[in-house]
Order: sequence, then structure tokens, then C-alpha cells
Amino acid sequence: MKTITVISGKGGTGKTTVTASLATLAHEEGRRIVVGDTDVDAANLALLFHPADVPAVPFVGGQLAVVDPDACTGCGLCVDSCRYGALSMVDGEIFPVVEVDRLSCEGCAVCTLVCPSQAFSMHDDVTGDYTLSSCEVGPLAFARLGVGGENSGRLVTQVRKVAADEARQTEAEILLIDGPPGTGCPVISAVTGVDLVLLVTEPTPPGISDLHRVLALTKHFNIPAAVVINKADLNPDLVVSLTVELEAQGVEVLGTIPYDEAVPKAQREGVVPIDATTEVGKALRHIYKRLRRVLAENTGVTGETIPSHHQQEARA
Amino acid sequence: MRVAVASGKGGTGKTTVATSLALAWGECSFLDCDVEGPNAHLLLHPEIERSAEVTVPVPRLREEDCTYCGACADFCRSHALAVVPGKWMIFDQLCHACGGCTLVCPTRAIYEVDRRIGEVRFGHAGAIRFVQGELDAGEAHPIPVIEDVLKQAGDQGDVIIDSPPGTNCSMVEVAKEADIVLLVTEPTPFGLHDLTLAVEALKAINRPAAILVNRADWGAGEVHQYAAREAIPVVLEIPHLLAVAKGYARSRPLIESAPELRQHLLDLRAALVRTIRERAA
Repeated sequence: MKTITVISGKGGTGKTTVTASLATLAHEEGRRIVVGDTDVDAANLALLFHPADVPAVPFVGGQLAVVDPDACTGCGLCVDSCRYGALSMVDGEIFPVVEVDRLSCEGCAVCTLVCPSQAFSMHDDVTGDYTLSSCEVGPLAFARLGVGGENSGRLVTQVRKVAADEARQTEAEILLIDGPPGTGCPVISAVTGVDLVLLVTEPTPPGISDLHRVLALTKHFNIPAAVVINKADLNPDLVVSLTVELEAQGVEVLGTIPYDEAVPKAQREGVVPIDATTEVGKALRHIYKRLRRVLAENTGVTGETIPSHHQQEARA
Repeated sequence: MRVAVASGKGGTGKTTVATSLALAWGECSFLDCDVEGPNAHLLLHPEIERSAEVTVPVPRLREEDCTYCGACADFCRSHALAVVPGKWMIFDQLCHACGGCTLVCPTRAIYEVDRRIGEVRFGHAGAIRFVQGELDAGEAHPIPVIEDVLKQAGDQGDVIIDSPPGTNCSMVEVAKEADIVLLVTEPTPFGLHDLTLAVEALKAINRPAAILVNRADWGAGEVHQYAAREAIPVVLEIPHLLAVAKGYARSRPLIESAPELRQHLLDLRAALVRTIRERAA
């Protein structure tokens, strides 16, 4: 089985559309595939794939400090010790007591250490939920992060675990992961240890700037990467210079996709734009073929050498 | 007035709108808090005058004082510490800098040093005071960088904040500091879905919101229905203009590609002030 994570750094480059199209093409070709949506802030694959309705599983992403107002003496030692500004003094019945801001608390438990009257206890914090369902192309795992959720990386890791377990059980050939935007904690969790990171970019200065940031990330963690340039005719000159630059760095450009209003139109209609009679459909089919070839050449040796984010936690 | 420009979904035009708001308003501060992908400078072309490192405290060990009791590793909720007899290990990337290990150590063998995780840059683009944060590649935790940028907001004049995408802790951190959050959306199923997530997040922290519909000619009916249900004003609609997309691909701000929008962006200020006032009443 090969695991591919699709990311883009910048949002709106067409990451989810490319992911959904590749998944559909793999299914069309008769490949067994499992799809995971790790954009837990804004999981959109389910909007395209309409998975069967199955109950979501609550996810405990960490812990939260809870204060017993009867035990709190209002001394304020904890307020000074909390580095996240999660604690503040509010009016109590007789004297001020401490209040915990749920969204700021990181569950570090320092307050339990410093409180002289043992007013704090730590409780499991449900930060979101995840779902393993099935859709037309195969099993689909996705998640929803609660408002302002901390540790979204842990929820990403959970979606990857659920999807990978399902892929092993169904003997899938491909595990395709739709990644989150940015370069931080959830992205690192989505790319560590995968066989290939597919970077979807667009020929705009912000698109390319963010592409370089995610490329730096894949190099940092020593993960093979390939690039797809979407909306290519927005600036053909940039497509050329970017392709030359990437190839000089040894990063393969799997293909370009033209800028076409048919793509957002397809999204509004809830379909993937893979119609072989359209330019966009042809481009996506070409990219899928190149991807198959890259995966066949990829011997599955990934450079998982750094004790990366959350792997450590999984071990602990 | 502090305006955070945000969007649940990426790529809806958040930075495009934020930068041209600043250009239209002229004298203001612009804070780029999208520290995992700061791009506003590519449209505002500021001159950067200085920069400052963003650091977080991480624990280090005075070996001669350590008894390898393991109390620090037992306490650490981030699993950033591992202790075996004769060996003490810290995984900087996992550390959340809570300081608990230094407090729990019975022999006070742990002290803290500053570790760089990013940078804040300062400059000007004409009359616009420009501040930008950037998280270093491979770093997991953007919040300290965002906090350092937000410290530069000041109390005077208008402040436009380019917020991180999504609805997680980064976006909430920025929204908490804003007088109003301008949500930039597009009328697609993804756009509308992610807008609802962003609105829910703002409700949870009780921040006023206004909606700007980009690419509105794709059919903004559903967005309007949703906005009406949530009693959030739609303060501006911008049509999809190929000239704007092509201009963006050449680092040209919205306001240059579509100068007819300047007056609308100027008028937006009064609409935002009104929304804040109505919410407060």
C-alpha cells in the first residue's frame, strides 16, 4: 500500500478537487482505495462524496483544567503561573475566584502544581469527533475539530490511523490523504512517514511562496514530494519559471491543469471535473497516470528519521 | 477599529481583500497573522525595516543536579521529556513551554533557554504600518508568533489583521483581539460550509462578524439566506473578475486591477463601525 498526502500550504489552490479527482480516477480504474480527510478545520471531501450516514466518534484531544470554586481561595498564584493566559480572577460569592478559559487552556496541569489548596483537577477534553464511513470510491475517514480546538495534530493523527487500519483490512493499494493548509502542527502530522506528498500549487506569487514553505517542510522531514500546478493559464510565464526551478531541485512536476470556470461549476454541482472530453479532465487523467508511475518507481523507503511531532506521543 | 479578515476556507480572497482594504483606507496598521503562509507583503510590497526573533522557552538540564527521578517526564503532558537512568532527553518540537518541568523538579536541575521558532518583521508600505509574522519551517506551534504580531496592534487608528485560515486555535487567537471579524467567503458548497464553521467559532467567543461575498456572481443566494438566519450583515459583494485573478498572479492588488472597487472598500469602514455599534446596543 502507498500513502499519498495532498497539501498546498495556501488554501484555494484546488487541493481538495485534485484529491477527489484522483480518488475517483483510481476507483474508476478498479484500484482499491481508502480516502482520509485530515483538513479537520474544514473537512470538505464529504460534501463531494456524500458518505453513508454513520455516527461520529467523540475524540479526546487532551485535558482541561477544572477549578472547584469552593476550594479556591482566590490567592491568584495559578494566574501568574499559567503561560497561556487561560486563568483569570472573577467575582465569587464572597471573594474573587479563578475562572478557566476553555479555549486558552492547553491542559499542561501547571495550575495543579502551584495551587496551595488543590482546587484544580484535570479532565478529558473532547476536542472534536471523527467518522469512518464509505462512499462511492471506497472507505472515507474524516473529522471535525470543535471550535478553537487545540491539538488538531492529534485529531489528524487519529484520522490517519483509522484510515490506515481500514486500508490494511481492505488490502487497499492506495491511501489518499487530503491534508490541511499551512505548515504547522496538523500539516506535520498529515505528512510524516507517507510515501509521497503531492503539492498542489497555482502560478501566483502567494501560491509559489507557500509552495516553497511546504517544500522546505517535506525536505526537513525527508519525505518525497511531487508538484501539480493548477490554474496554469493565470500566469504561463510563472508556470515555466517554476517548472524549471523545481526540476533543478529534483522535484517532479506531474502536470498542469488549466484555469477553467468549469472547475468551480463542477464543485457547485457536487461532481469532480474528470470528464475526459474537457481540458481539465484530460489534465487530471494525465496527472493520475504520472502519479501511478511515480508510485510504482517509489520503492517505499521513506526517510522517517526524526522523532517527529505526535509520533512521540503515540509511543508514550 | 481592529478588523480581522478571516475565512473558514482558504483561497476565498482573504488576503486580497485585507490588503486592498489597507490600500483604500491609507493610514492604518496591517498585521499579517497568517504566520504559516504570510503573503500580504507580495501584494503590499512593503519596505522591511527591521525584524525580531520569536522564541519560546524550552527546558535544559544541569546534569550535575539531576537524580534522574523522572518526575519531569511523568508530569509533562506533551510527552516532550524522556528520562531513563543516566539519560535526560527533551524533544523541543513537542514542548508546549508550560514550564511545569522546572516547577516539578525536586532538585531544581531544569532551567529554560530561548529557542527560535519564527520571526516578526516591521516595515511600511506608503502610509501603511506593516507587521508580519512567519513560523519557521518544521515548527509545529504558531500561536507564540501570532501573539508577538498581535502585540504590535497598538491602541490608535485602524488595524487590519490578516487572520490564519480555518477555525482552530490560531484563528480564534486572532479573532479574540478584533473588534469585528470580516469573513470572506465564496458561493460554493465548500465556501458556505466553511463559512458556517467560522461563524460558529465567532459565536463561541462572542465576536461580531460581517460577511463579504467574493465571486458573488457565482450565485450568492444561499449565502444571503444563511447570513439573514444568523443576523450577520453582508457588507459587500465582489464579482468574479478574471482581471483580478490574473492581476493577483502578477502581484497586483485587487484595488489596482479593479479600481471601481475603491469606493466600496472605503464605504465598508462605515458598515463595519455600524455593525459593531449595533451588536453592542
